[in-house]
Parts: sequence; C-alpha cells; structure tokens
Amino acid sequence: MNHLSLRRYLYVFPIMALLLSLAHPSGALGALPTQRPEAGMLEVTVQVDGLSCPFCAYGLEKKLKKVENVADLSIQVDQGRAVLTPEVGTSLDLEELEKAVRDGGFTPHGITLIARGRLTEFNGVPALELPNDTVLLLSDNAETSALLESGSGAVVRVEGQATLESKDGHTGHPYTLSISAFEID
Amino acid sequence: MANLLTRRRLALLAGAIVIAVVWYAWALFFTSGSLQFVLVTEWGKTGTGPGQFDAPIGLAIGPDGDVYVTDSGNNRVQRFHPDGTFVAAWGEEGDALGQLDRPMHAIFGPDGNLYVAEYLNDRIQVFTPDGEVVRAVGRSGSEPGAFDAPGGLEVAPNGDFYVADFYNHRVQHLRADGNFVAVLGTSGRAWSAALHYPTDVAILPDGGVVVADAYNNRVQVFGPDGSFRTKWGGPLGLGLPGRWPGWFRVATGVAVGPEGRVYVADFDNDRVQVFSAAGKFLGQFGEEGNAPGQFDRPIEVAVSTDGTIYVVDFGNDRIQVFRQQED
Repeated sequence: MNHLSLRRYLYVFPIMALLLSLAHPSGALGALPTQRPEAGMLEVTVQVDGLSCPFCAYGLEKKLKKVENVADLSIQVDQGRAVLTPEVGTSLDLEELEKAVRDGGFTPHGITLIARGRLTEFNGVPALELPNDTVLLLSDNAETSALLESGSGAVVRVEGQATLESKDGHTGHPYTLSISAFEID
Repeated sequence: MANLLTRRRLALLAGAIVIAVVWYAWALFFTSGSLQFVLVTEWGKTGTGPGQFDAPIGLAIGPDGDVYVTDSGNNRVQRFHPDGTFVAAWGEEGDALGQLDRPMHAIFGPDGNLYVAEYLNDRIQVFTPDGEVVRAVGRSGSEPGAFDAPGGLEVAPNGDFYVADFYNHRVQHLRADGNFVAVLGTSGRAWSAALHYPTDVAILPDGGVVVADAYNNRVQVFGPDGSFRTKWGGPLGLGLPGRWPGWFRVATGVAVGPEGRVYVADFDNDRVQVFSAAGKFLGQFGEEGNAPGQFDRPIEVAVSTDGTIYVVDFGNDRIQVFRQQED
C-alpha cells in the first residue's frame, strides 16, 4: 500500500462510518417515530405513620417487596411513605398493597398514583382501564369532567389518590381514583 | 349534704396522697442511679465508602477486640480496630451465601464466629472474623425454626442461640445447627412474657435471657428454661412509653456488661440506660443531637470485657465509644 492509498482510507473510513450511523434506526436519518409509552401504573405512593426505626422501615420494605409486579421500592422514612415503581406495562393490586402495609404493622393513610390507561366505563361509571384487569373508577370532580371531554377510549396519563369506597372492608370492588392532574396522549 | 361533700373531698385527697406516695416510692427506686459515663471516641459518617455508614444497626465485639458493624443500608459488615481504624468490609445485597439483605444485630459466638441476623433473608448467617461464610441457619415462616424478620440474637456459651423473631413476636431458642428447642414469650402487650416486636437478646451470667421488647417499650428477662423472670419499663413494666429514668420509648438493643449490668439502647429517647439484672435503674447517658456524646436514635449497645461501651448512633451514622467515669 503506497502513501496515497493510505491517505484515501483515512478519509473514506470516517465518512462511511458517519453515513452508516446516520442511516441506523437510532440515528438522525433513520429515527423511528416515538413509541407511545405502555399503559400501566407508573408510580404508586403509600403514606404510613410511625416509620421511625429501621425495624419498621425494613419490615415494610420486606412486605412490599412481595407485592406482585413491584420493580423498585423506596422507603422514605422522613416523609413517612413508601414509593413503588411497578414493572413496565403492569398494575399493582392496590388491595394486596394495602394488606402488605397492614402485615408490616402499619395503617395505610392514602395511596397516590401516576398511571397511564384508557378511559372506559364500568357499570355506567367513568373509569380508567389498566393492565392486569385493573379498573379504577373516576370520582366526580372538575378534573374528571375535563378529562371525559376527550371521549371514551382515549389514552390518558393521570395522577390522583386512590381509595376503596366500600365501608365494609375489602370486598373486591374497584378503587376510586380522585384525579388531581392529567394529560391526554 | 355538707358532710357528704366533705367525705368525698377527703376520699379524693386520700386517693391523691396514696397515688403520690406510690409514685414517689417508684420514682425513688428508679431514679437513684448515679453511674456517670464519658465519651472516649467516635467515628463514622454518612456514605458508602470504607468507614462510612448508611443506617448502621448492629455491633459485635470480636475475640481480638475488633469491632464489627452491620451497615444495613449498604448491606455489608464493616470491621474496625477498637479506635475506629477501618480494617475490612464484606457483603453486598442479595440472598446467596455471603450476600446480605438488611443485616441487623450481630454477635460473636463462643466458636469465635460472627452471627448476623438478616432481616429480609429470614436467616442467621455465620461468618469467620475475616468474612468467610461458615453457614446459614433459618428459613421464612412462622413455624418453629422459621423466622419472619429476625432482628437480633445472642449465642449462649454452649452454642445454642436465641433469636428475636420480630414479626412472629417471639424469641426462639435454637441449637447451633438450627434445630428448634423452645419459644420464649407470647405475642401481646402489657402482660408478663407478652412480646410485641422484639428486636434484640442478651444473656446474663446465670443464663437468664434479656429481651429488648421494643414496641412494648420495656425489657423482659426469662430464665434459661424459658420461664418468665422479670420485666421493667415504666410503672410495673407495663410498657407505657415515657422519658423518665426507667421508662423507654422503643427499646431496640440490649447488652450485658462484664459486671452483669444490663445496657439498653432507648431509641426514641436518644439515650442509653443502665440497670442491674433485676431492673434497678443505675444510670443513663446521651441526649438528642449530633454533637459528640449526643445521639440521634441509638439503636444498639455492646460492652467489651474491659467495660468499654460501644453505641451505634443510627441517625448520625456513627459509632460512639464511652466508659464509666471513675469516682
């Protein structure tokens, strides 16, 4: 290989590498359209009292780790809450979650969640449909009214507080979600 | 009518006097402690590096005097010389042998090995002083020999060990191989021998078993055969939480010193209290804060054979060392 051809390779290789990188799906020219995020619960926060000592905090951690579909978990002692991140595209069973908190020796004082789901109806009541056969009834407030204008079947991202309406304890009824904020996908 | 009112007043006055006398006698008994303690040294700060801690919980003193601290947030054990010089560390999060998941209280056994209660793995893992795994004992559950969040333990001179089985509200007496021997205590509040989230165990020179009955805010003592012996913590050992001497607000750690005294980590009162084996208050040290000698929720206390007192200052992520002040 003479001196000139070596110089040619020095120029050609970087140019080819640049073109290939641009043509790659992840590159600028071949970029795929942004995929819509999967439906499911994105973050679930449980508020509890009395999280002062590590025996309590780790006890709660131990019980919550056993809840199905939990990918990550953070016990925030100072804030008195547990923050759970579900597996992508899944929902947590909120009843199972509350039971786990009680098994840990605590009383759950509220569940707030961020979720992405499809607007639907359940027994004539506006609801949010999530994976794992989960349905959250939407409470009657201004945010819900505004959200319903987007029509049944719309995929929405919501934040709100989930509560069990039944006064007789856990009877398998859906939780009600009081929406505090939302975005329409 | 006037006589009736006077009688009622007299009865109320008499009742108040009786209560005051009983209270005074009780307070005199419990507040007569005169032992004084002074800070010797301290080490540690928040972090993940050598000599740093993320929620330290247990502390065990090795046969050579080195100090082993369970660093629960970092899922490791750290070894130090008695002056706080870092020696070594081992462990990482997991459930395989050699890994740890929330190591809690720890203690050295008569075999010279370190026994670590693993809260989330429901087992006692045994290490050599150099961190080599010897064996693991226990499984998850509520049946005899199984644990639901073992928080602390003590090993008897014959190798048997006693485990504070937190969520099962009991102390289990096991053979060295893990075979079940007996249960100490029952689940409950207030009554003698009733346990509510016990967290630690220590053994008296006569074989008596001292239990940190954490969420009953008291200490209970059982005989070697498991029979109830005594209890203390608030009036009549009923476990009412309080700040007065002899009261507790979550008693998380217990240790027996070389003179047979019982040292109690009084978690939410930010102090360590010292008692006779019969429960007589002898002294206390510590107050809320992060200055030297102050505590942010002391969770464990251990006493070496020369009387040096090591306290795990949980909220301040440090170890503080004390000794009794000579007269």
